[in-house]
Amino acid sequence: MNRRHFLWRVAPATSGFARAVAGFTVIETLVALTLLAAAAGILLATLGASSRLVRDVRENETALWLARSRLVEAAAYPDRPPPEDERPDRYEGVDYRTRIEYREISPVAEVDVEQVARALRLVEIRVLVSWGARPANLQMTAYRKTGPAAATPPAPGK
Amino acid sequence: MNARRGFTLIELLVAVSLATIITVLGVSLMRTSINTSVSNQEALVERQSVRDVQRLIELAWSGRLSNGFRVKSNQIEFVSGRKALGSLPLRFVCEPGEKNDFALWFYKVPPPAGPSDGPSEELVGELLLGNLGACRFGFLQAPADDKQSAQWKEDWPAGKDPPAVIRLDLATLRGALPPFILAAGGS
Repeated sequence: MNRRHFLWRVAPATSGFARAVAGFTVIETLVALTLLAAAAGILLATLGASSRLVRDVRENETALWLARSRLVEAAAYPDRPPPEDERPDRYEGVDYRTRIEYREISPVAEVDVEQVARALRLVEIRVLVSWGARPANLQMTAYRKTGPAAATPPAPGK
Repeated sequence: MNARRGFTLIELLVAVSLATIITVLGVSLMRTSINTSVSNQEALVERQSVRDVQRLIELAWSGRLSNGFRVKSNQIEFVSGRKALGSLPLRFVCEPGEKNDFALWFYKVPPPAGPSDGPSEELVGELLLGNLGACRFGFLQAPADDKQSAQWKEDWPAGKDPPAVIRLDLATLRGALPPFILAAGGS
């Protein structure tokens, strides 16, 4: 007779001898191994993805911090070149490159250009930070009054 | 009568060594990932404490009054207009530690006692950050020439108006952190 067992297959009793345990077939073993490997692979991929995510967040935070500092530094004296810093921006093994751009905002043409220009000479200061092998980047912008108009604002009234 | 034959020694050895290799691989992978997550956690805690200190300095500095600004090597002292911080001059000091490291301390400086009171009492400070690899203040100064860039100075002349911008460079034992640069009144 050929009774079924939940774990192993029972060989048909061909001889008068007792039922022999036949074990798993190769196919069964392969399927089991494949499932196991897939599960392990998914686990590892999840771990890797999560640690990569944490690293990305840390790099982003560092870049944000750096950009903010550089912006404050450059915006303090908007009509001069940015202060030089001899130390390389390398934090936690990642190099950060900073570029600072200045753009003068021209007053709108229809209004009294002379008056506006005297009252408000605006400079847009933009800090761009890029880092990493996959270039990631970030930018921050500030506006500052500049020039002699900023130093001596026109007297009110009159 | 060989129906219940077991494994041979060779088979057993191969199986056991395979199992061992797989286990070792798995354990080392697990250990790496645990180490990564622990060091991430530590870095996060460290960053958080640095950010807290920065927030304190930013709060104090953005409300500072123009009088009473003093600089000595690696320390700044100023009066903050913030009510929450009291009216005493605040002093932030980078002090060298015992093992070639630095610590950032915070003091509220009481007014000097009268001459009759004998030696002034010991200041009680608050340790803001310890185990620092570096701790340095800097001050941004614009030269007289309009075309030159402003320069970072380690010192600031006494009696002069406080600089518009200060910086604090910190490094933990893990490595350098980006400079913390502050303008009065925030950015």
